[in-house]
Amino acid sequence: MTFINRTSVGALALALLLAGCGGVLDPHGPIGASERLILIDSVAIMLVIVIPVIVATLGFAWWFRASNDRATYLPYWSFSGQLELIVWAIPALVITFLGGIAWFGSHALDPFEPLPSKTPPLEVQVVSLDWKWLFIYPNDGVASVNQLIIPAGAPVHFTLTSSGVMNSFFVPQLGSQIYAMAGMTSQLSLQADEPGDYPGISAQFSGDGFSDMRFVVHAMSADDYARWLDSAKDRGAVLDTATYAALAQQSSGVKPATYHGADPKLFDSIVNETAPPSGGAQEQPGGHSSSRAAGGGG
Amino acid sequence: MLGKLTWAAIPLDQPIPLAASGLIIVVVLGVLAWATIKGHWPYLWHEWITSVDHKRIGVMYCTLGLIMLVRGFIDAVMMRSQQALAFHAQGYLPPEHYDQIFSAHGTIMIFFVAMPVVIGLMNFAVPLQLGVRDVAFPTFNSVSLWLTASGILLVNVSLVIGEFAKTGWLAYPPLSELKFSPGVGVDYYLWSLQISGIGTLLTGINFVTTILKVRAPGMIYTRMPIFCWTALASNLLIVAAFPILTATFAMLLLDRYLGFHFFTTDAGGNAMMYINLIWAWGHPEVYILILPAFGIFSEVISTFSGKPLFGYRSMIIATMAICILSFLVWLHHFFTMGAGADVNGFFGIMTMIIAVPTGVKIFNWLFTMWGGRIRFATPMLWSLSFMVTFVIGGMTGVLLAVPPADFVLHNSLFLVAHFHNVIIGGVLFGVFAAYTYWFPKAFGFRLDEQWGKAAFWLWTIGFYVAFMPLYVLGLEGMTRRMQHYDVAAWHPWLLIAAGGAALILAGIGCQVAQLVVSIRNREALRDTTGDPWDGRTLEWATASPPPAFNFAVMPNVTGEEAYWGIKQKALAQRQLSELPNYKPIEMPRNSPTGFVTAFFAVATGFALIWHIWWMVMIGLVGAFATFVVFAWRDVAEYDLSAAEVAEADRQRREARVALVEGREPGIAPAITTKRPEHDPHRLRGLDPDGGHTGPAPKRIVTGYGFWIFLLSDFVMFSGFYASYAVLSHATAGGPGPQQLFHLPTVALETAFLLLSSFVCGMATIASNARNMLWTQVCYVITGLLGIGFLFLEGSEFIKMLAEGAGPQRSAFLSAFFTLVGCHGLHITVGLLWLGTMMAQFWAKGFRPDILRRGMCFGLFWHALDIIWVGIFTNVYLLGTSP
Repeated sequence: MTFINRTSVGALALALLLAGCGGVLDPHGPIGASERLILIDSVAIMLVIVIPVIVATLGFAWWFRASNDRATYLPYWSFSGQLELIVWAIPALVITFLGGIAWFGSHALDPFEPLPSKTPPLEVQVVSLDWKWLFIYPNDGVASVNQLIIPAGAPVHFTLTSSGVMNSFFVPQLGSQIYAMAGMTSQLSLQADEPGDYPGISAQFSGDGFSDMRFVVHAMSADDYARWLDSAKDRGAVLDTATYAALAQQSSGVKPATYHGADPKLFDSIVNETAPPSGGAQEQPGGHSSSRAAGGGG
Repeated sequence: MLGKLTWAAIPLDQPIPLAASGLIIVVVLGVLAWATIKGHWPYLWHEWITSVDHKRIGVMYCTLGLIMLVRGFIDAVMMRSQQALAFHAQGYLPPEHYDQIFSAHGTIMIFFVAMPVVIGLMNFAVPLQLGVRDVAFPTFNSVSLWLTASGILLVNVSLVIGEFAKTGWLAYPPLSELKFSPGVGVDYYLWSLQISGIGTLLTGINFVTTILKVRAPGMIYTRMPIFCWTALASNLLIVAAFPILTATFAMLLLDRYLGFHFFTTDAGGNAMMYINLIWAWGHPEVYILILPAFGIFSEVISTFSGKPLFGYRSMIIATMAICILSFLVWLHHFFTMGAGADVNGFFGIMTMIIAVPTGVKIFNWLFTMWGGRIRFATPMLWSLSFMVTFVIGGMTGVLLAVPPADFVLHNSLFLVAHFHNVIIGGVLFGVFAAYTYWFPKAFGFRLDEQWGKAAFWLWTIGFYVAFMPLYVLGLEGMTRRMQHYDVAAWHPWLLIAAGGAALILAGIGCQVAQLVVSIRNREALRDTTGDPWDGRTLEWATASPPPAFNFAVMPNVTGEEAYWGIKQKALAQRQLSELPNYKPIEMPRNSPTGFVTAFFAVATGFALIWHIWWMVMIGLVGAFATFVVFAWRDVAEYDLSAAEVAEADRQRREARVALVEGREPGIAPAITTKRPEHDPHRLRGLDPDGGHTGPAPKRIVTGYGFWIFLLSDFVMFSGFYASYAVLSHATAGGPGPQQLFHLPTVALETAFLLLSSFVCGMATIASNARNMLWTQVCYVITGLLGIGFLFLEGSEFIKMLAEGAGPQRSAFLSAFFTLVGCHGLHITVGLLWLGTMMAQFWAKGFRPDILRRGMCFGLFWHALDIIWVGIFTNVYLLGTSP
């Protein structure tokens, strides 16, 4: 047990070293925190077997070197029933243990499951476009591009789709990612425990503008969030079909923007492919594919 | 005239690809000019290009793979340097170039480095270890090689003409669909992999047949070297998995070329299906590569520990368990698709279960070393480094199999670090161990140890420096394939990783130096005995390099570790076994079939990529004609007289005397310890021939091979059928099965086909009875019924097209036309085959090889019948049932 503790401490030390770097070991929400725990526990369990194996590999090789006269040479020793049993049993036991973690973890952290909370979750519809993120707040008629404003301490329920190419919606410090795919929806629930800015990315390569397909999650106190929502209701352009059709064209490095008057049917029409389709890329002479705004600003 | 091909295809405005392609062209032209000036062409043509010798083919496969390793590594260096520079900057590679580089890097490293080298090593070693003279189908082996080379050529042409895919190494749709990737890049990717994939499939069929049916007398399954077992598992996986890849790519090609809707974002296409199918191939693919590497490590650790492999039977069970389990884990590549907790949990646990047999292997290697006398030659160093590195990679792999952990690590650099950890630390280190281990067998001299050890240390340290930072970066939230970034915390780690790539570069430099130095010092490094490492398996029983016929007399295997037993006896008695009675040997003749097929394959592939339709026709007709010419040849073998065989073996025996008398340094003296009496399975291994009398007759071998081909064909149809099942309701508002299918016509088609199968069976009976008239009559009727079937099917298709219910209408119709059309294509090919075969029977009479082909045609035709009955029931009857 002390060994397990020591390896856990080692893993934790590495975790602390990396914490504060904005990664998955520095979570700011319940989902991310649970996932970090599972990650560290699994590594600790495996290190119990991995470290002795590495030590034994080097140790056996050194002790049984040809020049070591003290080592016994067993030229025929190639079978032992008891050892075979142990050899199969050790990995099987470890895997039984880890399999339990996988099964229960998979159920406890199913992205489609709502988060337990007294307050009803904030509904956000997410559309991945070439190469920016559109967030629609269906209950408030507000929308934003490449920035997501949420209240801290309350669950957020995302429904996701894509206008064309597949992407993966991921805020490392809040936890789970999920694919956004055209013609269907996926779901995810996340929560930020305290106010702050958390970077978000697409974690699935989606074309030339992929590296700039980033957004920031601004988690605010409930009051600040209410103020933002009020001000957003008459700021920026109206998100109608024409605005959406323009957004669905390829562009990258798009500055965060806010829209109001979002059509409540827009998200469903994107899912069932009646909204203006994604612009796609064009073929240039010489068989080259050319995206419209590769690498440039939008 | 030239389709889409114009001068704009040459990247004149981009200095980096232009310089790279210019350099490649100069090098290739230089080599060609050198070969011409030195007059090497006749030698290359007769001894290598047309060779059907498995050893030569193995060497050529490995050479191709190692050259492509350099190409893939240059891509890696560009990626590492780009990411080291692109902090708050664009670096030196714009996205449209960077995206091609990482796509090419993955594609090349898996398909054109790891696959050819692993297949090359199996080619070289498996027949030698089995104690036989060649593989089951030597000419097809050459075809496999040259089709792989065709794929490699096409991928490299994309550097100069046009562009390569910008979609990642698996080309996920919808990104790889025409709408988002309209250029030729994805087409280069798809056609080069389709062409080389056919070659790989042929290799799989060839080696499964070889290992099952072509073994030396007494070489029963439980006496086969473990490398042969892993090769069997790997090739079974090729046969079962590659047809899925072929089917999947075929569907994407139909989407791109003919406007089908398998994976598009409209008309009911389903991109998730591609991701499922590609990983149903992709995960077994990982084991196709790693299992032979496990076999290599087993051989190396056992040899250099001076002991038999510990737990031989346990190793076989573990290998076959991995072989089967590898088909049950594909979904772990996309836990983040949202398939639900039960599905994710199941696939997570299945994935972890694979770690059990893998763990068993690690322990068995440990116990192989226990009680050994370990010599730290370079192959053993690679093996030790593998064991340490691979358990780390295995651990991170199991971590990624825990769905909640994968939710935050999926697609991150942590994942990139993981699979490089197992592929470099597993496959590549295994390849390097095997390269050093078998090099003296292939060329007759050892590789320089000093340079080899320098390369080993640089590679090992370089690997850790290059990839451990990637684990950290993944935990810091950096995803893969980023062309630039502005997170300050990532930058130092990426600089370290670039340093690691530099160390690996130095390692590759040492390997090149090692080869040059070894060739220059070859006289000092000469392996005169054929057994430079004190080996235990049969490849060390023959000379280095082995004669074309491998063994003057086929060895008679009496236990595990066949050669070691023979050697111990000879060492103990201080004399060789008595002079055998040499017999003439029949060897397969060289054939240009493979090279010519590849020429037409390249022409067809290039023409398809650039839409040059007349050239496509020429290429296809040419390839077909090549096979007809091959099938028509009269003499397939040549004979070596007993005197020639005796002379060749005399030299080997002379060299062996030195070994037996203990004059050869490096060979251990006979082991005086008595074999323990209580070791049950080893005693059982002492049966004289174990009931196995040697290679099966040709008719059996051919039949086996063809059955295995049919198995792979069934898998391909299953791929199409699975997509039909998924898409059968995706009618996109268009007509469904109820409105379209006309059962009476289809029933008549079915009757035609069943009847033709019956008549075909009669033709087989007639040909076995050597009755030419009835053979021909029955084949004519078979053919006419087949044509009738095609006519009815064609008219049904035309009617549907006329009603606007073509494959472009909906995903359902795409899947229907593909499934049924693929069967129709098979019937068409069968008719072409039948025509040539009838002509052959007419011209050549009942020659054994034509009779064997007749048997295969019968099997093919009946199999098409069975597939059609499946289609008739599942598509037509179920589709129209209320």
